Order: sequence, then structure tokens, then C-alpha cells
Amino acid sequence: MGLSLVDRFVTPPTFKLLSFDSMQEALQQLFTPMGLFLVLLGASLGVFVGAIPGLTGTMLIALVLPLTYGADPQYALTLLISIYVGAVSGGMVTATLLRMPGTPASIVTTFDGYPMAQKGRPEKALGLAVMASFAGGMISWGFLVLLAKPIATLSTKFGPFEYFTLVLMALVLIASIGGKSLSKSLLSGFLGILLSMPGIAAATGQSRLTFGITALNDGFKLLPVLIGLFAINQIFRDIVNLKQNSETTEIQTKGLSLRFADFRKQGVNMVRSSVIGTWIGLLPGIGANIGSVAAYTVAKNASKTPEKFGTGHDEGIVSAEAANNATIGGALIPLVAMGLPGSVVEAVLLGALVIHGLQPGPRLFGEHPEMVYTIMGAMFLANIAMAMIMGFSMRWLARISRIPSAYLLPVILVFCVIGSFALSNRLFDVWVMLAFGALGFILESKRIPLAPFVIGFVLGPIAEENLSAGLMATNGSWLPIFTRPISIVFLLVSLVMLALPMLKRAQSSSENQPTAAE
Amino acid sequence: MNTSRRVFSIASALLICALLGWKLANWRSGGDASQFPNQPIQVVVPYAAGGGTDTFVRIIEKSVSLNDDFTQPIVVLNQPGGGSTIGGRYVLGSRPDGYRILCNNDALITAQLSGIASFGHEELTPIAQLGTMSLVLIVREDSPYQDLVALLEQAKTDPNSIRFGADVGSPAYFYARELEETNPGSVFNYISTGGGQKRYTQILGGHLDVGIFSVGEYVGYRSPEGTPPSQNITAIAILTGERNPSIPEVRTATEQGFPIDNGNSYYWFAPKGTPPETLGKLREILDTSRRDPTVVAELKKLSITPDYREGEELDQYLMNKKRSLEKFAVSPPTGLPNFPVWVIGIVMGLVVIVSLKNKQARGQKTTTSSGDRRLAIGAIAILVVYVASLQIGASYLYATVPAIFLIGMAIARGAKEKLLPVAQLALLFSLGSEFIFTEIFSVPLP
Repeated sequence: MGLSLVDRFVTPPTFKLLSFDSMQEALQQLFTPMGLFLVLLGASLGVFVGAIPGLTGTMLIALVLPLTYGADPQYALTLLISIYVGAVSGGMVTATLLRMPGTPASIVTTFDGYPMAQKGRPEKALGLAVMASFAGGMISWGFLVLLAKPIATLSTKFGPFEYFTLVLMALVLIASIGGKSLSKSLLSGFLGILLSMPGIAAATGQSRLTFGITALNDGFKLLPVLIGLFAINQIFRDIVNLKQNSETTEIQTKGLSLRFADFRKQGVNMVRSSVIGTWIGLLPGIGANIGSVAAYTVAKNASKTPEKFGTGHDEGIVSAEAANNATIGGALIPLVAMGLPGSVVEAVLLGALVIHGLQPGPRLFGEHPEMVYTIMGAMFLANIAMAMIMGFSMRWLARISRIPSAYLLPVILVFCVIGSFALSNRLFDVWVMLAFGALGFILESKRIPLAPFVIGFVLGPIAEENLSAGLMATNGSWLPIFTRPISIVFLLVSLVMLALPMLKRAQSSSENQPTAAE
Repeated sequence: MNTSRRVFSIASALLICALLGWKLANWRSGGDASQFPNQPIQVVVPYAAGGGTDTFVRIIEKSVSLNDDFTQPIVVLNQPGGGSTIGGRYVLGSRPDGYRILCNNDALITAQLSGIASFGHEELTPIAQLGTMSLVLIVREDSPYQDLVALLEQAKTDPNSIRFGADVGSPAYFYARELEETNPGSVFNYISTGGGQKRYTQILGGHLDVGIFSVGEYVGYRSPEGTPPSQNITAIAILTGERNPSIPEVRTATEQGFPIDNGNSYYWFAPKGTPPETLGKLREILDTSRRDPTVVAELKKLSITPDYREGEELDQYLMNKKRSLEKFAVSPPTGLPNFPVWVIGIVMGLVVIVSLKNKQARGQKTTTSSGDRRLAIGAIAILVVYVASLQIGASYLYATVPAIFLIGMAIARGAKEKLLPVAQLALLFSLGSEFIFTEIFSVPLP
């Protein structure tokens, strides 16, 4: 029998334990022309799909999976991991250039990326994003390789109340970043929570707020909601503003390229955001969506010039992109150490291994260490491939925003339709997308920010599920929230973060400016 | 500039011709409708990709697609959500031609019993039952409950003290209720935690006392001998009638004096009205692939028994299953706050606050940009008509080409010089996307 999980749990985290044979085996296969080709192919497909609003990496991985049935499992895994890495990075392109985030992870990129591109510096914005993505990917890769096992045990320490208070903290985070008005951000966040409620309640197993519509049994799905709120709403605005656009956005030719100075200046921010992204990425179901939100908030609070955030600020782009790529490494930690997937993408990856005849569960990688090295190696190479692909195609990518709207917008619209449909093969989701497009337009017209809505939508159900599970376990007692050490810490931090912006506002209440953001 | 545009235009024209050729060739070869199957068979999996049922179906999918005797592959169509009712309902309303079938487990039965589905297995035609998972009861290895007697006696002397990880209304919940009944007076405290992995970490972390897993899950999750008991799980009983070859040391519940025999089986269903010949062919496909040595080996790894039932035997099996479970009424947990009411209350409160603030600040309000709203509304209206036409069954190609063309021309404000490129784009995109989705990935488009 190969190396057991337990040894890896209990003994100090050295990799001496794992056989070098399997490492060699994995690396040998990765560095064949075929292996490298698959990395490049996967990363570019991922970037492409991630960049198109409506299509996602998860979707592509699920679609590609049957094509790998005849292939060697290591090759299959290499291709799928590369797609994963590419897709998380690809979201930055449309988020920056068109203000259409393809995934929740790239919503935060729109805050500063889009304004910077609008100011005529799309290449700079993309350059910063690529640099940060690469750094985020590599730093979290380091965590994955060095600390996977000791960190993974942490996740069992999290009971329902810990999850609940953690999500509560994340919800409070968004209130402080969304916009200038705390009450509007909160309203948006709670609207998101409310609209996540129709469907079958996790705790009771009964359907609620469906008004007898059976298609609503599963509620509204994230992808159509997200595409509707952002892409459809944005396309509507783009068409409304057609004339002005063609005249105002001239691409500047100065200060485009990235300099070493940028790297140095953003160093601290990059490392901090990557670490935050990795740690948050660790938590199943939560990580990828809010890693960038958390890092952005921290960057803003730590910045000397917080007022510049949201207007096309370097630090904003860097923190968001470093963190969202770092969540990949974080989310792979439970997968590698315990065989437990942290996200939908990883569930599919794991499913792929099982279909290739490997036993799922915590022992999977104890008995097949070569797969661990394949995952780690593929992630490393895919990160490099992603940075190369993005770097080389930067000039070309930056011109996407100059493609005449008559060509670009109809194609994106159809992609949105296909993407919403393909999610679970039903047109109901396409109607949901259209309805949320209208809702997004209305909210933004009332100057209610959309980001808190999406985060509330994502996190509301997780909060409810865990609070319910906790209360069911204690037969209705709330006490453990205050007695369990981890949960009380999260609770206190949430309170402080909620109070901080209020205090700040009270201090500067005299400067009552109308919102600048459009 | 102009030459590059011309090159682009010619290249796309060539591509369009090639794709049209593909479409035409398909048209003519697709004529032979007498032989089933002459197109890929969609298997609707009512769960997300990567789950247990999904993996099981994909093992069969792999076997069918690698088998040269079958001219058509089967393709997995994931339609998760609503406790497996969304996918079930989809197949229920599909054409009974054998090209769209369902694979589900006992959840199909329990969804109806717990009231989330208005339909049961009777509304579908069973094709076959292929594959059964034995079930085990899992505790942490250092748990005080090392056998069923200890567990059930504790549940009896102190009802609700055992934290049982089972989503209310799920198959596991019903099996647990059956177990409760074998020792009258015992009451478990059911806690909805979500999927198997989550339950596993919650048991390891001591947040749950016990849970039901399939033997396959247990074998995968259990760490080898020598692991500290606080970091490992152990099975205290098999809920299925016989011991399982993967874990011969674990005693059945019946052996321990609590008679219960339940396994979770996979069923394949077709819509009502599917012709018998088609059903026969589907059975042949399933029966052949379960004998495939790689399938046998992979199912063995997952500890799925490759048992097989069809026809009357299966009808009886389903009936018995339902009868054994339907006596347990689902009692939703009490004492939980009414979350929707809370959230609605908070939202209404915030609306009031925001609108009050808005009133104060109304003086400074600036009007939104007075761009061309009519144009945008027109473009979105075309989109809505497009989706509506797909809804009523228009083919993807015929709906998409005009949709792209009209929206593009609307945005271009009918400029004549855009006429040709937009038309080219519409054709290229529609044909190209259809090619990629149907030919490479063999998944349906709207």
C-alpha cells in the first residue's frame, strides 16, 4: 500500500514521505510534448471560455470530460486543471474591458479595471491583472505544496456555527465595499439573500416562496442571475450610450506597459491578497466567490489612498486578481489532502478521476501520489501558460472593446443565452437571466450597487443552511455562537467592520457628496 | 486595413460554406429513423456533475462510447436541483422516443413521499434497475456508540440527543426512520448538512454523532489502521440485508437484532409511452455494459453491486420500496426561525430607510444620461422574441441567425455597409456554435 493519509496528517508535513518515484513519474509525463501541449491547450481554452460572459470553466470541464475517457488519467487531469486555471484568469478580460464579469470571482475586478480601461488604459489594467493573477496563482501554489496537510485538518474544526459566523463576516465585508451608501449596500445584499430563498429550503426539505411554480423548485441559479445583473444590464447601457462611447474612449499610448516599478509597488499588496485568497479558498463553497472581495476590502482599508479605490486604481485591480487566482490553490488543498472537493469544478475533477478508475475519498491521493504531483505540476505549468498567453495576446485583447458594437454585442447576447441554457439544459434559466437583467438595470438606476446583491445571493443560503444545522443540533439554542472560540471571534470582527465605516462616515459627515460612480 | 478586412471576409465565407456542407451532410444521413438509436441517447442526471449518480452514469457512458457494437453514444445531461425533481420533471415531459431517459436513485421515491415532487415512479416507465449501493452507519472511531445497541438505546433513553446527519426528506432520512422503528421509542435528532463530504468532515470534527454513507463512500473515506481514532471513522452496522464483501468485518443491523434491509438502487426510466422495441434496445445497452469487465471493475471499486432487474420484477421491487418507506411522515424540524419572514422584514426596513434618505437628497439628483433608450429597448425586445421562439420549439439555427442579424443591424442603425459583415457574422456564429456543441460535445442547444 502506498503512503497513507494518516501519516500525512499526523507526521510533520515533509514531502520526504512521498516517494520520489511518483514525483518523477508525474513530472516525466507532464514534460512530454503531449503534456505541455495539453497544458497550453487547456489554459488557452480556459482563458477563452472564462472571458466570454455566459460560459464558465465548470461548464467547459464538464463538456470536455467525456472526451478524455479514452485518455490516460494523468493527461486528462492535466488538461482539466489547465482549463480551471485559465478560466479563473480569463474572467478579467471582459470584466475589465466591458464591465461584464463572467464569474462572481471577477466582479471585484470591474470596480477598478473597467474605470481604468475607460480612461484609455486597458492594456495597463490587463497587465496589472495578469501580473497579479500570476503572483496569486504561484503563491497559493506554494501553500498547496508546502502546507496542504496541516491546513486541511483545520477544515474539520469548522462546525455549523463557525461557518455561519464566517459567512456573516463576509456579508458585512461587502456592505463596506459596495458603494458610498451603507444603507443601499445593505439593501442590495439583503435583496440578494431574499431572492436566493425560493426553492427547497436546505433545513426542512420543503419548497418555499415558489408560488406553485415547479420550475422554481431549485430557485434562481447563480449564473443566470449574474449574467443578467451584469452582462444584460451592461449591454443595455452600452446600446443606450452608443454615440458617446465611440467618441470618448481613445486608447492612450502613454504609460501602457507594465514596469518593474509596478511589481515592486504592488508587492506587499500582491502577497497579502494572495494569502487572503488562499485561506478563504480553503473553505468549501465559499472561497472562490468572496476571496477577491475580502482581499479588496483589506487592500482598501490598508491603503493610504482609499478614496481612489473604485476609480481605476492599481491596487484595486491587483488585490482582486491576486486573490481570485489564489483561491484555486486554496480550494485544491482539501482536495489534495483529504480528497474532498471545495467547489463544483473540483467535484467534477474528482469525478473524472473516479471515472478513470481511481477510488475516491481521502485515501485517493495517499494511494496515488503521482496524481497529487500531476495536479501540482499542472497547476504550476498552467499558471505560466496563462501568463504567457495573456501576455502575448494583450494588445489584441485590449482591442476587444474597440470591436464595433454591432458585431460584439449580438454575439455576447447569444452567448449569454447559450450559457444560461446549458447550465441545466432548460430555457427557464434564460428567462431568469432576462428578468435579472431588468432588475439590475432598475437597481443601478436607483444607484444601488450590484456587488452586494450577488454576494448576498451566494452567501445567504450558506449562512442559513449552517445556522439551521447548528440550531437543529442544539435544539434551538443560540448560545454556542457566543461560546465557541472561532465563532465569537468572527462575530466580533463582523461587528467591528460594520461599525468602522459608520464611525468614519460620522467623522466626515460634512462632506456629503453625491455618488460619482455611474 | 481594407485588405485585411477582405481577407477576413473571404475566410469567414469559406468557413460558412464548410459548415453549411457539414449541416447538409448531416441532414441527409439523419434520415434513417427506422433504427433506434440513430442519434445520441441523452441520460438526464438530476444532480450536478461530480456526484455519485453522475459518476455512476458516466462509467456506463464511458463503456457505451468505447464499445464499437453501439453505433450511438449515450451522453450525460446534468440537470441538478430541486431534490432531483427538476431533471425528473424534464424527462417526464419529454417525447417518448427513447432519446431522453432518466437515471435516479431512491430519491425519486422519497421526493414524492416528502412532498417536494408531485410525481412518483408510476408516472414514468422503468427501463431497468442497475446497480445498488449498500449502506452503512458511520460514527467517529472514538465514539461511545460502537454498535447499534448502544446507539439506539441512547436514542431511546434520551430522545433527540443523537445528532444524526441526514437531510430531512432525503433517502438517508427515510432509512434512519426505518432504523428508529426497529427499536420503538428511539428518536434521532436529524440535522440537514448537505452532501456526503460535508457530513464526513462534520463527523470527524465532532459536530455530528452519526451518519449514513454508501459502502463505497465509507471505504474511500476511512483512513487505514493506525490512524488515531479521533481522526477516523468506523462503520457500526450495514443497513442492507447481507454483509458486504468490501468490508466483511462489519455486522449487519439484522445480525445485531434490528431487522432492516435497505440499499439505495439506481433506476433508469423512460417517459410513459416509449415503444417496447425501444425499451428493449435500451435494456440491451444497459445489460451489455454492466457485463463489460471495466465497468465491473470500476463498480467494484465503488462497492456498487451490479445487480439488475427489469420488467415485472422491477415493478414489484419499486412497489415494495415505496411501501416500506411511505409510512414515515416527514416532520420538518421545529424551532427554526422563519428566515424568509426575517429577510423580508429587513428588506422592507431598508427600503424605507433608503427612500427616506433619497427624499432628503432629491435636490442634488442628476438625471441619467439621455441616450437612445428606444434603440436599446428594441434590441432587448428582439432578444426576448428570440428566446420566446426557442421556447416554442424553433430550431436553434433558424432562430439564432435572424436574431444576431437583426440585433446587429439595429445597433448599426441599418447602416448599409454593415449589412454584409453582420450577415456573415450571424451565419458564422450560429453554424459554428451549433457545430461545436452538437458535433464535438454532443450536447443539445436550446
